[in-house]
Amino acid sequence: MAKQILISGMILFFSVWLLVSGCNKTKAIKTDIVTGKVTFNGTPFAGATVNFTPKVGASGNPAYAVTAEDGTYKLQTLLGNPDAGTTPGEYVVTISRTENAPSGKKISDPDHPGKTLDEMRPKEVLPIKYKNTKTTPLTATVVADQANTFDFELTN
Amino acid sequence: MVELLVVIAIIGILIALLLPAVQAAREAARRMQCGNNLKQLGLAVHNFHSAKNRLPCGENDPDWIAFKKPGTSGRLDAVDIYSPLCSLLPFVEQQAIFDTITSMLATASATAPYDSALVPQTNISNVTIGGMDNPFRSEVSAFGCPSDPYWKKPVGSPNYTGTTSYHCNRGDAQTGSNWGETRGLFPNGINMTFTLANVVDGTSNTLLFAESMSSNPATADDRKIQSGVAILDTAIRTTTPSQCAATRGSLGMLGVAATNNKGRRWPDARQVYTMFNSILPPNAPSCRFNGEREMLISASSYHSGGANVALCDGSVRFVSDTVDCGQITEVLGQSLGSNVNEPQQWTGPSTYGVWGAAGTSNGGESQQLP
Repeated sequence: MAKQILISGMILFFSVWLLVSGCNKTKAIKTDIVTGKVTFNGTPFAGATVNFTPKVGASGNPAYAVTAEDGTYKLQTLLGNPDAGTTPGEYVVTISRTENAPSGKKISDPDHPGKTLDEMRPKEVLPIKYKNTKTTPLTATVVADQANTFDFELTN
Repeated sequence: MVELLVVIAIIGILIALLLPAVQAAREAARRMQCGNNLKQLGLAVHNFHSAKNRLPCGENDPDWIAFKKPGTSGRLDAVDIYSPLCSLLPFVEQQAIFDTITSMLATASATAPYDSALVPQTNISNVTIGGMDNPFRSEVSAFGCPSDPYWKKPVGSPNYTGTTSYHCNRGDAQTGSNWGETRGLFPNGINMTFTLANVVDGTSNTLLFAESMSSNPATADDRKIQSGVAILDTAIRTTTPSQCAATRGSLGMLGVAATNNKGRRWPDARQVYTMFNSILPPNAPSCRFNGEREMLISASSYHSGGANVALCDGSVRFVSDTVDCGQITEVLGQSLGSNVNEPQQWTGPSTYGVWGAAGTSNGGESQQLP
């Protein structure tokens, strides 16, 4: 009798355990916080996209951030939580800010027939060498289990 | 006596397990219905292709720009932005709406130069040329995901244009909607029309539609990551997709101010209304760069953990949020030597992993979605 109860209890426990644990999945990867500050010609630079691209053949996850008003940034990745940094590895760092500037040409405005809109062309605010992974002088090595800080001082 | 207790305990635990599962079961049913809608849209594209020997165009579809202004060779105003969903109406059993649109355009083409009802704006007049009900106000159930809470129009706003939860594949390049280049499947009809022969990467490896949730009409600043569109107002070309991805804030919200027009006009071909890009993964932010014409729209859904997509072979898949998106910290083709000032002209493989490869029709990669 006691044996029956024990067996049915065990079956019940395992079926409940299977049901509860069956479809559990973890999304976020383990990351290390990466922060820092971007300055351009000595002043904090806002609105720049900071990109950490893993070096060819190196481990790591592409990470990115946009600098705040005081030039500071906190990296995040697609798979990690916001502001949680990235995985350890060696990275090439690119920094850019692109704005819209009217090209001088006009295009038709579908919402207001008969009227036109300015055609926009991209305009780089920072030196172009910081934008391309092949020409940027900036690199960073993210180390595990510590807060990583990288300040970038850009010049003309 | 002990047996009775055990039976009661088992029943109690089963009820405790089942009751919370009811909501999940309803969501599973909605997800399946959503997948079925996408399947129907995929079949509609194949039937369209059988009938016309081409695919519908993303903008400037030859069928729509054939309607000229009275006595001129120029097209009617606003027909350039009629969406592929307009072209597909007869193939999702909405011949009546399609006929109303064509007869409205035929009348405008014969007599009137311009009528505001021809423009699919968010809030449009209820009567169009000839006293007909405005066809764009219709809610087409084939365009609605049952999990999309804002797909139905607000009760007090019958004059809103109908909404769509399904967006067409514009590829893995950040482009404006009227640009000639597309790496996806819905090009500008002035430059080219696509047939299934253009899908060189294989029809089972190329995306056709994906779901992307409609914005909340009740707020001008919709910060929900699935339905809002973050305002960047930087240049779309030469910007890395990471700039848009960085607008993700905490708790599934956008960290910057946002607009609320995603999906809110099924007849409008501009990206925010009916197009998506296979750059950022499902449920990543969508961003506005320059007005309504230049957007990066990501797939999104309220189904847990991903979004439904339809492929060119007519199949429907569920793509996870964690799908490989490659190097979103680079502009398209940068490491392979693309022109970084005009990356949308790159014709090589996608930089954005399996998801980007699935968005290209002719990128030279035949990667299958996992």
